[in-house]
Amino acid sequence: MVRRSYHVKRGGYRFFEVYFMEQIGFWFLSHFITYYGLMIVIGILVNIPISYLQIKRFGLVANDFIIICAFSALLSIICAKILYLITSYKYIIFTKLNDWSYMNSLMNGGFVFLGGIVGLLIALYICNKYLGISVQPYIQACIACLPFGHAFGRIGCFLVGCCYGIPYEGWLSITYTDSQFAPVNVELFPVQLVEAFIELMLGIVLLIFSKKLRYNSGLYLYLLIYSICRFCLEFFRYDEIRSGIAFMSTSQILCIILFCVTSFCLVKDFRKNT
Amino acid sequence: MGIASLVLGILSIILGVFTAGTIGWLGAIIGIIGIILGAIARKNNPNGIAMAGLVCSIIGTILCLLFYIACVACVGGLAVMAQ
Repeated sequence: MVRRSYHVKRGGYRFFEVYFMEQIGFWFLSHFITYYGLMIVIGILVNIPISYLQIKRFGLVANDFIIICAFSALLSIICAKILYLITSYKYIIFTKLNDWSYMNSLMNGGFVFLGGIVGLLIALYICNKYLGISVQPYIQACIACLPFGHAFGRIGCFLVGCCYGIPYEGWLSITYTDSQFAPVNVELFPVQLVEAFIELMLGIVLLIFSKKLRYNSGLYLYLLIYSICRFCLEFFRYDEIRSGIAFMSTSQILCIILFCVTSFCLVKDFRKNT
Repeated sequence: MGIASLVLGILSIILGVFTAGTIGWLGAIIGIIGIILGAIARKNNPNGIAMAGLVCSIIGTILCLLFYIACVACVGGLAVMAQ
């Protein structure tokens, strides 16, 4: 049986050590549950009461909120998957695409979060334009759910060992002794946990100030802060296979585009509202 | 729409529980479409079928996500498979 561990080092000695029996998941009642899937579901389950309370607090319609959420989730999954396939097209064996098991492994492969944000924006536009639902108050009420969900996803990445950081021997470095993705027995910077922590803090701030963040300013604030943080954290990533242009990764280019588009929309909205 | 939501919800539960992960992603997409149809049906004509469709779709989607999403190293996973 495969045995793996995380050693979190703190000030020259091991802070704690946790053992997991499989590399990407565990067995429960004859079902194999992946850590990433489990963390995503925990993120959803945490977000349900938060969004419910926020909907009540703002006096909004629950059915409209469910429609917006489901539509956003659908388009986010599709766009995140499409961007994942685009960024890793070099490793796709196109001759095997008619093989169902290979096709299925591609679909189970992974997602690129920035693609999900693009999908979310498209979904919000469709809901507003074609379904006649005013999305602005729902964004104001529930924008904090987005960073909360993403933070749990990042913890899932940490558990699996993907999206790992650069070699680093300082405070809180982590070492995977057996991982399918991360280099084993190398002390790494815990970039996944840093991103999760930033997301959690951002979510708490957005939740506290949700009443004061009028119009779409909550969404703009989230997108601006996230694009800046992600751009910086990309320098601490050490995934070997990362496509990009010059010294920037694909995610950094997308962060720049996201930052510019958000800034433009923010200025446009600000002028319109004043 | 309520009946369509119920059918999609049941289908997503079946895909989630009985296909052993092979087409879990498809079950999640079907479940989400069921949630959209169920919510629209509840909004236009609230009845038991619409509510049942919505609940089944939510359960099916969560089951599919829980059992079958694997984070195969966001970008690097395919490379591992290729090796």
